Amino acid sequence: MIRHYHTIRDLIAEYKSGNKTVEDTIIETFDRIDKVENKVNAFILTLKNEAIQRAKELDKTLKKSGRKTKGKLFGIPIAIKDNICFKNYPTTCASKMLENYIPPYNATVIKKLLDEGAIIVGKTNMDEFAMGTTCESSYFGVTHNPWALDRVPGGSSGGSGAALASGEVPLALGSDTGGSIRCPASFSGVVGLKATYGLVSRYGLIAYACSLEQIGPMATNVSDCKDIFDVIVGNDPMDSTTISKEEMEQYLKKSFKDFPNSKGKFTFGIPKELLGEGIDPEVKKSVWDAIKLLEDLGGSYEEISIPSIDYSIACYYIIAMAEASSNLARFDGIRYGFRSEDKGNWNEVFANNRLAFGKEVRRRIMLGTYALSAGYYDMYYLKALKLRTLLIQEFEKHLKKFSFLICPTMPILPFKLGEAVNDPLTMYLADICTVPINITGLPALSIPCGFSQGLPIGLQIIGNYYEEYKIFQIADLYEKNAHTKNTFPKI
Amino acid sequence: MTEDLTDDDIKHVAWLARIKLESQEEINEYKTTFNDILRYFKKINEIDTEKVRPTFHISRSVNRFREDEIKESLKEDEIMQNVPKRKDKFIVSPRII
Repeated sequence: MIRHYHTIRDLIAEYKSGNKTVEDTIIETFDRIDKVENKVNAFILTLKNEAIQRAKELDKTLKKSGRKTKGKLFGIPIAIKDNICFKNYPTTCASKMLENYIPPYNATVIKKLLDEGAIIVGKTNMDEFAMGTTCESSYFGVTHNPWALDRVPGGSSGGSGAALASGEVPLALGSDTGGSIRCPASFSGVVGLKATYGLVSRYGLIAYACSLEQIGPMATNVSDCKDIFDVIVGNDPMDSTTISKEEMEQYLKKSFKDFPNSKGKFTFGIPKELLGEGIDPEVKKSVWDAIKLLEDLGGSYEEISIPSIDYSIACYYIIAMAEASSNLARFDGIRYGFRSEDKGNWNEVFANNRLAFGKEVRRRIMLGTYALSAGYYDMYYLKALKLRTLLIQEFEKHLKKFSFLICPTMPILPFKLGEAVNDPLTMYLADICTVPINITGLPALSIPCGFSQGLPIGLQIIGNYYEEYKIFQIADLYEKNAHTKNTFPKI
Repeated sequence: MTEDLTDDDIKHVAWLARIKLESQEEINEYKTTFNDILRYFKKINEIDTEKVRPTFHISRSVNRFREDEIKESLKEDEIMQNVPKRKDKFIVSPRII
């Protein structure tokens, strides 16, 4: 065990009591990073000097204030996915296109983290432009799964997942467009939340598919995951799709004190489309064990059917690619980004500059362009948006009846490195359990629920809109009884 | 139902997306993958959506307005710091015509 504390709250308590300084923590963090990073490759950039400097300042503040800490994340090291802008440090999206891009501003979530005393220790690896399920399409090389170095850590926030699992950091931010937080949480054996659409500001997140994506917290236990979520949630005037101030007040007032009810009862549904054919038997077994445990803890379940799930992968990829083709049109290499030699006219230079995109990114831009082009718009894009309506209606119906829906996060165990990289369709199909959540905008959390062949398996807890705290409660109850908290691989 | 994509279709989409195609091999690769993926996408036509309205966005809020106030924004140097080719205060662009 490389950690001597259980949650970040314990760590902050140690700072207050004077048992430990923030600088100690940061030095330990970088010792760990130095030890495992050559095996894992979770980071694109580490910020050792900056982090130590900030730790010293926080220690000074602590001393001056008579050991009173200000901030929910005071002195806590955190890793940030490299598609979230951190002022004056490269933010590359793991792409050659943005290799030298230095944002002149902070994402809203970064500002919030810093205001609460967090220390950013580095930027984590990811699939290029967050387009992937394996973290293999990064321009900066693949990230390895700390549980088995010949496997993928999941994607696209694979660096964040691997940095947590290998004990490099206690907290990380990821972003989730079709499962990009929950997939690496599942494959790397950590906790990750994709909140209700609109709860977390996207200002400063380099866009892939705006109507689907949310920044979200990743941690090694439910308590830490909730603490960082509390910091990043809320209205932002810089992102007009965030929840309004009035709605936010209502949201925070919403109390789940009585949940589960006084007799400890709660209900959940199991969508048969996500626990039947196509799900690895080992994953199935592990998820059923979790369901039995939830039953013992006061839950009662019914098997349900959400037929439109069978169409959700096609629906998701059409919408995501269409939005990507539009969002990524901004990368002309003229105002920022990769600029090639000036050969030819505007259009030729533009097309040359865009060769800085990797294979999968080009693929998605082109397919999205096709799905939006004259003659195909109704057939693909508009049809997908109609299916989105149906999927929302079906989920809403069940979430009126049940507190949660439960299923695996990933239908399979982590891919071997290289296994799926040249077969995009196979890779897309692995997103079956996660994409419906982005299409509908619902919240869902992935939590470790077991192992097979030493590889982690994740349980997905889906809740109703704006019921993240209910999800946290049940996840916490599960974690305490399943003893999955802070499990680390030997590395 | 549409036919499979041809070389010309790939070239047309690549042009629309301003992505340069470098070889015939690349065109062939796109053709195979895209046709596989599009065949899978066509699965969505199995469902009747005649009377269903599309959902473009989950957010239920409509236009959100703010006062048009003058606020501090990024400095010129900050905005220009990422420009790959510049001359004085200007961004150098390729020839347009």
